[in-house]
Amino acid sequence: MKIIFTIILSITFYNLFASNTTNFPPPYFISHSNIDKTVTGIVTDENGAPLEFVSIGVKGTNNGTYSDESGKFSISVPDNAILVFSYVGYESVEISVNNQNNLNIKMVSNVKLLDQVVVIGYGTAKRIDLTGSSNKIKGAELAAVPYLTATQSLQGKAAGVQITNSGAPGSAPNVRIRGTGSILGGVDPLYVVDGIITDDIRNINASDIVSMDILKDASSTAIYGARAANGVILITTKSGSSDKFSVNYNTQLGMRLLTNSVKMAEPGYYALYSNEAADFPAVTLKDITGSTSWYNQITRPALFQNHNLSVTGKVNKYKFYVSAGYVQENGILIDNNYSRINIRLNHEYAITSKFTIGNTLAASRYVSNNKPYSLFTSSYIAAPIFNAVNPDGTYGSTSNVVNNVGNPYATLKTTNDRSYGNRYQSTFWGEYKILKGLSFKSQIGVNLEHNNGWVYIPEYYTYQADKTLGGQKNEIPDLTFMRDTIYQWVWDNVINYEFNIGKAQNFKVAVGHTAERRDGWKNRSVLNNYPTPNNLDNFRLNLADTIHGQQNFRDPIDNYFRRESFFARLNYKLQDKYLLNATFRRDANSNFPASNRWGNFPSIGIGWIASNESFMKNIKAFDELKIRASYGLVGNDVIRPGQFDLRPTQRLFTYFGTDRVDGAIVTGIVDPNLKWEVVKEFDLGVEFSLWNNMISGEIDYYNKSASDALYTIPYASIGFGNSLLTNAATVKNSGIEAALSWNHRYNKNLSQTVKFNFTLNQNKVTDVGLGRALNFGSLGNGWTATQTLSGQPIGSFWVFKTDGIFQSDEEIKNYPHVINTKPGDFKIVDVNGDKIIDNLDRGFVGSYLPKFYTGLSYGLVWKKFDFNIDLFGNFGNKVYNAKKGLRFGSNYNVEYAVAANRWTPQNKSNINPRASNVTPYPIDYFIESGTFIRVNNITVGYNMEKIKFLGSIDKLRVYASAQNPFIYTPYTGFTPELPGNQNEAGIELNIYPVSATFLIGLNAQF
Amino acid sequence: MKFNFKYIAIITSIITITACSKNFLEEPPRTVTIKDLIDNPATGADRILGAVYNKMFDWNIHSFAWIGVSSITSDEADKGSTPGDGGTDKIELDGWLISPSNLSFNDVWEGNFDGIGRSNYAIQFFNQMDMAEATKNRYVGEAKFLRAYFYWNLLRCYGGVPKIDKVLASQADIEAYSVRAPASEIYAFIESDLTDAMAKLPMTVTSKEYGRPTKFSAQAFLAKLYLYQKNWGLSKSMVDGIINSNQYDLLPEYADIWREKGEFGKESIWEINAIGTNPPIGITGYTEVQGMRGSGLDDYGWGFNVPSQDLINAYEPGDKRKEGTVLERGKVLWDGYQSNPNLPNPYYNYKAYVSKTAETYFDRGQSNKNLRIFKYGEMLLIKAEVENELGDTTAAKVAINKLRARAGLGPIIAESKDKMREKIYHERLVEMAMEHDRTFDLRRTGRAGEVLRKQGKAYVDGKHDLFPIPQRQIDLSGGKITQNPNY
Repeated sequence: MKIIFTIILSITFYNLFASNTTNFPPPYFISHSNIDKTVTGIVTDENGAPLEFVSIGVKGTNNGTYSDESGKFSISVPDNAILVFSYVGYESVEISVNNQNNLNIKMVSNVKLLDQVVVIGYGTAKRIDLTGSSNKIKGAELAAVPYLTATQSLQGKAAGVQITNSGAPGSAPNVRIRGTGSILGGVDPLYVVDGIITDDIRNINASDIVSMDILKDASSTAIYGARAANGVILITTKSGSSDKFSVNYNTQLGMRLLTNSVKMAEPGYYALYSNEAADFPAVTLKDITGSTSWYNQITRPALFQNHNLSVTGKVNKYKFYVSAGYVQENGILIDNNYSRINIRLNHEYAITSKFTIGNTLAASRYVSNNKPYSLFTSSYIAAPIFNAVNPDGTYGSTSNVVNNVGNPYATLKTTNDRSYGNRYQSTFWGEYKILKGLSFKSQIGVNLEHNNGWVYIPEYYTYQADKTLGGQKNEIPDLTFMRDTIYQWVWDNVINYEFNIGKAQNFKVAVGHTAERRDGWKNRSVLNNYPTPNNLDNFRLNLADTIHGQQNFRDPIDNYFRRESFFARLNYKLQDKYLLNATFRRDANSNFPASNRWGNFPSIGIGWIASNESFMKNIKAFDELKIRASYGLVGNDVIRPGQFDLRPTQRLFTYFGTDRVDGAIVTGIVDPNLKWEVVKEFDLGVEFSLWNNMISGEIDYYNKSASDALYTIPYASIGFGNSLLTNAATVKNSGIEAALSWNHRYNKNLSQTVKFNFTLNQNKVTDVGLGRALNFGSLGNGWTATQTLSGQPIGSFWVFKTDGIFQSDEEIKNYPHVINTKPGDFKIVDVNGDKIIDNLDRGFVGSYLPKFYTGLSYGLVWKKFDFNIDLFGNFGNKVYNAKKGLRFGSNYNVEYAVAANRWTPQNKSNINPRASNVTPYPIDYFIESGTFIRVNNITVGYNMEKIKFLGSIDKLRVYASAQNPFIYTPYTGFTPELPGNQNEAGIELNIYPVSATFLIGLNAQF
Repeated sequence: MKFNFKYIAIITSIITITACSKNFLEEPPRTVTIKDLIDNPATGADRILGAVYNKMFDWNIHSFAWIGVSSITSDEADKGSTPGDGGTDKIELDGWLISPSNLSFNDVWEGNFDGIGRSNYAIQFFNQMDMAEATKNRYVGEAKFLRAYFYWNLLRCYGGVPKIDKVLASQADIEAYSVRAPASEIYAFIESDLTDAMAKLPMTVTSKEYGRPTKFSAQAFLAKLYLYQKNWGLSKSMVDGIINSNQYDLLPEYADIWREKGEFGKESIWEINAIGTNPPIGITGYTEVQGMRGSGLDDYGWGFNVPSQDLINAYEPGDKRKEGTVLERGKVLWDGYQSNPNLPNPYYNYKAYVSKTAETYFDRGQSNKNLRIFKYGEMLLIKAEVENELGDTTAAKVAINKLRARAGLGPIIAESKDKMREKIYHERLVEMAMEHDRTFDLRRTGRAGEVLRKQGKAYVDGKHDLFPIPQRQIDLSGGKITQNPNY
């Protein structure tokens, strides 16, 4: 049925476009014959400043005109005409002409917060009527910056929303709403795109988005029950605008650059340091056959481009929005890139005045050429003393005496790793207005994803300067193919009923049911020792290939499930002053045992619109003052399937004789009563706006406590694994967040806006199972750096304390020390005084979670120019500079400063250690401040409207913009912005640094 | 306000249709279940048993950590690699500067206990299966044999460890069982498993079953177990059973034992069956960790665990066993490969060498190298030792001379019991060199301190006679697992 409808609609549109485009003239330009009299007048804004290009139309006709530079207009109309004045950003004004000849029209800005409509779960509401905490971000803000995923541009824009970006092309950022809520469960918010729940929004083109509504507290999120614990982000895509047919084209071209590169030691210092560390000539003059700066060798200025074309309009009972987009992100790593093509079709058709149907279809394809992020680490430690490419074109290598980590450039060039896929996301819905205020909506959403990829490293060798073979090589080329399919459907049925009792009481009720299933399979094929194929993209797997030891694996996807839910909501308003919002959801998820499958998630919120009280009416300053409070239970049920069920581990291969046996046995224990995490959330907030919205703001206090948090209680290894996944911890987040904005329009030529927000968040873990800590944060040298334990934030750095440097053998002898300690090594403090340096001496020194983060933006509009600057600040967290601690054993390179300032018997530093080959302990020396302030965006734009010589261009905007051009941070590594798993984020190791982008853009509306 | 009940009825029915399917929330299992395995013994039994064997290929059981604690600690081997490369904690193991936080001890602990857990599950599942009695017996016997092997490694390293003779299904059980049993109980447990295995295992295996133990594998194991307990009589009866079976003999060439040529040969009583063809299942990293640390074509691995000068000195002139054990840099190897004269170490472990040209070679990380656990040569050593201890120096001499004859050495003449014991110990060193026996053998015979201190190692009697219990395991048991003395 849906397909037939789509086809019919598509054919209809095709015909309209192909044969009949002249049916869509700009509506108000064709003069009409039925003229009776001329009306003149002037259009101004609230402050009396004239407004130019206000469109003035005669209702019910195509007759119309625009106001001129001084706001004046003149139009011929019949006596009974109704004039419609419309201007973007202002409320439309309708006036009956009657016998007037002169009209002075004052237009009022429609950015009135009071009437702002926001999207809520399974519906919409006026923001003023809600008791929950949410943020609305407009699509225009998201599309203005060159990011693939819409959430990347949220950084610093919304209080309570923490965004940690990665510089990798095609990556999605870490999004944490009101802190990190879980240790081992999901920590990402729930995404709902046009009513359909999804976990990945990388397929959504930011320029298709109307708005993003971020729901933060239980009153607004609990309607999503067991999936709401980390907040909810509702994304609404564009639909046909009701009045105008328009074509919109926008494009961005830009360049990304690696900023904040770290200066590594050059050959001379490298040799000096290595020889001193080894205490024998590890690197001699004849080993130095070149000089390579590996970061320069593997990185590049990278181009970025983005093109979007959309057509939107309304034809009789059809409303449509169609768009196509293409984005290409090149990584600063050579040959690393990501591109995506999007097509979207959003239709709506009013069959009758009561019955509307609609459908959305988003198709996207991405291609990603991947390179290992570990190159950022191997380039750090690679010896700078040989050429990446030898004069004869072969890859270079250190001499076998030095035998360093290898040639990162060879790794880069020989890694062929491509992933590509298609995704189709579609909804089909019908809404029937049964009675006034009563409607029923049924919506089916389907998501289909195909993700494919291959990885192939050909046989290759590196060569020393004397043409003998180097250490780095790949003798056995393996070819790995991946083919994943994910299929998902969801069916929502919702009844909405709005009614009044008397004049004072307004009720909005919603009840609904939803069922959902996600399913899919991952297929892998591995061929060993495979000769280099000609064209991997067109490669077809020969399933009968036995020569190359082909192994095929088929596994279910990690997150298949079936869910069913019932939900209800009541929004009650008394006398426009007193609000009560109550929600309830009953949820079931197949990933929990039958005994624990169903759960109830209620919330209640109350609000008082003080500004509507009569005694407040006298206080002119207040447009709005609302006080609200909410409390509710939400759940976190993000867990892999089957975790409560004891299942054999498979593929424990062995050979009996020459027969391969696929071993299968149980290897651990499970908790048969596993359940979701329950989060109790309290929120208290004030919203206000003053002096005709010149100042508006919002302040919230929140307190979230996740009990029954998932935790793996570790235990001794006596044959049954080493930990049990169960509900055995509490995670608390509490904080204050505030947003304040000021905007002022001085006259028609000048307006300014300042927006500021900040969030203070405190994260704490308590009551972990049996008090046993979890260790995370591998440093790549055998040590780990973080621990999650009661009384500390999740993933706190857990390191040894140092007290300067040992200056002499005498000093070492009189102080507890680790084996092989020499003068110039760190003096690790024996904290517990037992004369042994061991894990009992380690302590907590903070975590990667910021204590405070803030965003500040300033906007200026002057005549046709606009200027905007966004700042983001992140304070009070720590970073582990793990690259610095990687050197051990082999002749790894070090930073220039480390080599230059090293301890020597002549230069007895008490801060910097000696040159050493010993694996460093995780000590406070590697802990640095994670504080940074960054200019996230600077944009300068020039706007033109109604370009006459091109006739049909209504609006044209050109702009230049810079993302992340400046950062102020005491951190000495590449970037203090280090996304990762919540238990071990903030360790700079294999991290793709965030880059700066400079771009020019153009936006044209026809 | 008026409702149109017709519509309400339609809506309600639609909602009911969605909600009605009662089984909607039941997600059928996507992967094999325990029941699937138990209900299908024809395939399930092999899959379960295969999973127990599989453990022996894991990194934490016979690889770097095991090479460290069983070999680098001894006088026959040095750490190797390059001076700067400590190999996690191998530099500490080499010098006996060991502590409970050394990761190698934790690896060996976890690896072997994983094997014990799998064995316990296997025994329980086999007992639940509907199989012919004889078939079931063999499967159970094999699982018990493997459990005994894992316990044997733990016992020799740590002394008494938690005794786990069944499946533990809850964390409460695991906490309760996280206490050490005395070493004597573990000895008895191993003995009872092996005795049972001996009764249940077949006399021989077909080539399709290579890698699986026989009755004689259990018997050889018992011979060694009793030797460690100084139960000379029982040890003798076990070793005699093997010798008198006439199923085994020495290979003519000593060097062949550890080469592909000698796999499952006449001398092999039990070995771990690594397959280096594609797709390989080898003992992870075994060859690579010990391979020559060259570069380019001379890069065979990381170069750890190299024969010490003391071992070189221990060989009598003309002893062919040296050439089967010690790979000398710069020499042409048995397969014609010219080794690089500039390698960082003068010697490498020849028994871990896999030829790229003359043997099955695919991936050095998962090589074709079988780990020889019990061989007939060792049975002769045990025979010699128990006969000597029981007073029959002549029988001892006969056994030893068989080994010496193969090694191209002349026979030893009759000696006193004490002198003979020295000779046997010496013979054991050179016959079993680099086979993960030496450290345990030194401790068994009470010579570890004397021998190792002579090499400059910090061996402390009364402390180092057992390795430390890994600190991590003590911590995770809440202190209920106790540390060995003096750590």
